[in-house]
Amino acid sequence: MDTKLKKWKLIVSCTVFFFGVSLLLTGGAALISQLIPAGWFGDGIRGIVEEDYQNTGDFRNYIESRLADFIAMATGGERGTWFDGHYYFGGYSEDAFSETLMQGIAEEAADAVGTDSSDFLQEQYGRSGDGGEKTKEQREAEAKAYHETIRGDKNLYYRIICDGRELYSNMEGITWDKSSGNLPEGYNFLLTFDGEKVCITKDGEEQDIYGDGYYRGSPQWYVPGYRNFMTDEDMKKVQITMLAAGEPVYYSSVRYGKGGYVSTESRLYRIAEWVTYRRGILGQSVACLLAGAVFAAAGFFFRRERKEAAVKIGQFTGKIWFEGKLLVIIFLAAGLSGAMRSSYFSELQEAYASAGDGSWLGAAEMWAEAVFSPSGFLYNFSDVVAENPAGLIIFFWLTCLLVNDICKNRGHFFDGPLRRAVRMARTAELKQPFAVQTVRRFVCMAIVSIVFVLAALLLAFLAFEGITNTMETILAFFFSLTVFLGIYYRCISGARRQAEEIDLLAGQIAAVRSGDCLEKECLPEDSSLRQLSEDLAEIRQGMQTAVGEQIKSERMKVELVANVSHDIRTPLTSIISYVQFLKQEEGLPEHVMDYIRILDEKSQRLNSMVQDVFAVSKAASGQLPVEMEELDFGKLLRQTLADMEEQIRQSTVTVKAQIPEHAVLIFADGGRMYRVFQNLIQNALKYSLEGSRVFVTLKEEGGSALAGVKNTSRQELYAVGEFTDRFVRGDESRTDGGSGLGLSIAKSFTEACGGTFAIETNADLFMVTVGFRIREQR
Amino acid sequence: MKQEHILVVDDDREIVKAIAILLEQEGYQVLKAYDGMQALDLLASNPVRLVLIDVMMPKLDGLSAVMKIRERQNIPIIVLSAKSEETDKVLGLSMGADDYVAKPYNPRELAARVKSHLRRYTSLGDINASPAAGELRNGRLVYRTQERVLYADGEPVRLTATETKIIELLMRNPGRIFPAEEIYRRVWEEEAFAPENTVMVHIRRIREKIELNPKEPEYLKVVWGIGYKIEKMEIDR
Repeated sequence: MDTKLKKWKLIVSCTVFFFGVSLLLTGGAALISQLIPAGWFGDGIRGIVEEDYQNTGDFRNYIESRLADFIAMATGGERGTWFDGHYYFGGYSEDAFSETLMQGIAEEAADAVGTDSSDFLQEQYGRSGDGGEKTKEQREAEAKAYHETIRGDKNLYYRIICDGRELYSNMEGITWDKSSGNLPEGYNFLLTFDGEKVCITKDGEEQDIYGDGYYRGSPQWYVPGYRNFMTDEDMKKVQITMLAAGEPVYYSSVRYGKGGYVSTESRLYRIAEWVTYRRGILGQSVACLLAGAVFAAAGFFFRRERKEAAVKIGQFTGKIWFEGKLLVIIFLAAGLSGAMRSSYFSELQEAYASAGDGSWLGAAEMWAEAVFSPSGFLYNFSDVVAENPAGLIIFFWLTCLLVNDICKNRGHFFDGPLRRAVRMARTAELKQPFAVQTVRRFVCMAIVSIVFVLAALLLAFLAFEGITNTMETILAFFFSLTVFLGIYYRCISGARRQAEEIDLLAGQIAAVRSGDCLEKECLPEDSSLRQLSEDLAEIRQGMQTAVGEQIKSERMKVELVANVSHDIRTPLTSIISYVQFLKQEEGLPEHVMDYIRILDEKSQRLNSMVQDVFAVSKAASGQLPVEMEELDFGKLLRQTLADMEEQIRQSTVTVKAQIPEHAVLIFADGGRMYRVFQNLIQNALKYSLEGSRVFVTLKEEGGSALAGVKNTSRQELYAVGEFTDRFVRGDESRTDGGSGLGLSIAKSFTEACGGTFAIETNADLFMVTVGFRIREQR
Repeated sequence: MKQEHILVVDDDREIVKAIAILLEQEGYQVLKAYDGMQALDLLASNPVRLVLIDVMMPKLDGLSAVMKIRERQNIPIIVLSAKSEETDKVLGLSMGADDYVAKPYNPRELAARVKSHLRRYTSLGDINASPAAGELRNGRLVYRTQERVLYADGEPVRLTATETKIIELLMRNPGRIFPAEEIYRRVWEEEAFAPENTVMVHIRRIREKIELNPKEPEYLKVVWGIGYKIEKMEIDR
């Protein structure tokens, strides 16, 4: 029950809203369509509520121009144009426009009857086509012809008197008592001109025409007699009487020339009819607006239901395919443009006609000016609306539905089979391997290109054969071009995206290579390279773990060595101290002294070993502190040799130094490098063949400084790789001094300073080369 | 001669005994302690001239003990440690110790250091006074320019004429590095040809005379690959 009521409420709210807005729209549109052509605030609003046609501006204009014409006819002067009926132009002189128009109409008429236009004018109106100075006779003939044209229209009586002589009049048999002020039956408007002033009596009441005596423009009567619009001498002898009917009747007259004719209509009747028509429209509009307001008020009470209904409608329209909606949109656009064009089309023709020189370009310019100016647009719009209000309503509601749909179904407005197909194609594409995707893309582009070329050829053929016309061909061509470019765009943008992703991936790989294992960003999920990216991320993670573990184990190793060496040092301190005391003892037997000497030596060696092990383990784990500075490599070698001079002198070998005199600058830790060469030279002294020579050299090669220590081994050498392994020494017995860590320390210290360390053996020749980059001298 | 009391602190009794023997041979009176607390107690009740203290000890570790001693006394403190790393040394000195000796120590060097500190503390108590005119001071070295004599710990060092010239050059510019060529030119006053060996020999000889441990010199240093210098010491405590 409750739900049923609710449903009804929904329907009622929708209906009420629909009718309310529709009626408001119709009424408003009708009102506006009448107001716009009449001018918004001038005569417009007053005009459409005016009952009496004699109070309109049109009527006033008509009477003014007639009076002017009649005065001109009476005085025999040039007068304005005289097309009674639809055309009238006030004023005592002709202006260019009326002349042109007259000429145009005359030509048209002449075309119809097959005579020259000037002849036609001459004949019909007693005037010459060239518009030159006319004789008095000619002017009189003109006036006469005009009189003949309008005299039959009994809606307007007139009498023109000059110097007391009646010149023209259509008031035959009409008399009324002037003094009583009673007009003939059916006439309620009287205008008299006594040569100086104009007097108007309407419904027996005299109207105030002149006010304070100055003319200031509409809506004052534009008639002679104002202080700033005086009558001249000629006019003083003219007397005119005009009578206008209260309710004009239809009148038409046709005048036949030589086979052609000109028809005139009663202008007064038309004015009265227009007033009635406008009042009718006004009534309808107001009724519509009132009814609409009532419905809208009712709709206001149901506004909550209406909102719900809007949601429901949105849900319903959301299910419609986008393709269907597209049809509606096209229909709407076509309707709008069609309506506009049909109204514009007539204007275009007019513009073409008035452009004069017959060029389309000039016509188009004039047309555009007329149509696209704001007032022009409104004018056309009101035309369209007035002609087809139902079209407006349908247009409005369809647009509303569309907007509602867009608002309510923001995410899936474009849903439809086309979109589904595109999505499915994309998903299927993603499942393909990368290479297949790329190849397919290019194949697709190639096929589309070929099809497009073929289609263009076919179109050209069809057009050439005359099967299709130009318009169809152009439309079809642009359609196929759009499809072609669309597919090309998809392919190229896909390829571009892939290329960008490859770039990203390359960047990630480079980051992994340079040791950055922290970044974990992957490519987006819909990327065709997603799998690769994920794999890379896993490798990264693995590397990170491995590196982390390695660092941890290195640190533990160093800590272990540090702790062990500390633990060894404490007892070693005691040993060394007491051995020292033993050495000081006197009177000990010779062999005991020998034992003590051995103890002393070995304890010292143990001490140096502990220190070396500690240094090597630190250097190997990269924790060796270095103080890098710019130094002269050659000087370092000379200093080292000088420092070790005593040892060298005591040894059996000679040292040959080949070091350049000039500075060879490198960047290294001098203390550490001294230790390196001290070890190398000590090694050379220790293991060289007696009496042989040790060569200490420094060479510059390319951008590097290479320091070499070469010696001839006393014992046979074995494979190179093992020398820098810890604790490997020239002899396996390990009975002499030294920790066996000399080369190892040299290598790790060199590398800690950023240098290279290489060992080479050639038969009994043992060579160590330490290389550094040469720094440019500043 | 009045015997001077030296306090030796280490949790290793054998090491304390060894140091005691070493120092007693040199003629000092030795007080023994085996942890930091004991050391502080002994210091409170005895006139101690110098403290030798180990870092790693139970109850109160060496560095904390040094800080506590420094709160009350200004006597020289030498820290002994099995840790030989540079950072440990810096830490020890910043805690207020005057010197740092790594284990295993060289007995001769240890004795020399003790002697040096005692001499400076007792006989040259006015070490903080501003240097007299014509006196170049740097740590335990003093060079008197008028006499042209170098004093180490207040004792004149016997140097040859060349060695004196070198020392004068370096003492006048402590911290500045002199290349061998420059030293040669300014001392021998002639252009050098392969001066490295000559200069190095003299440097080594001077070291033997002035350094407590010539193998690990504190003052006269080789700056490898550049030249030679005398280390500029911080203002002595």
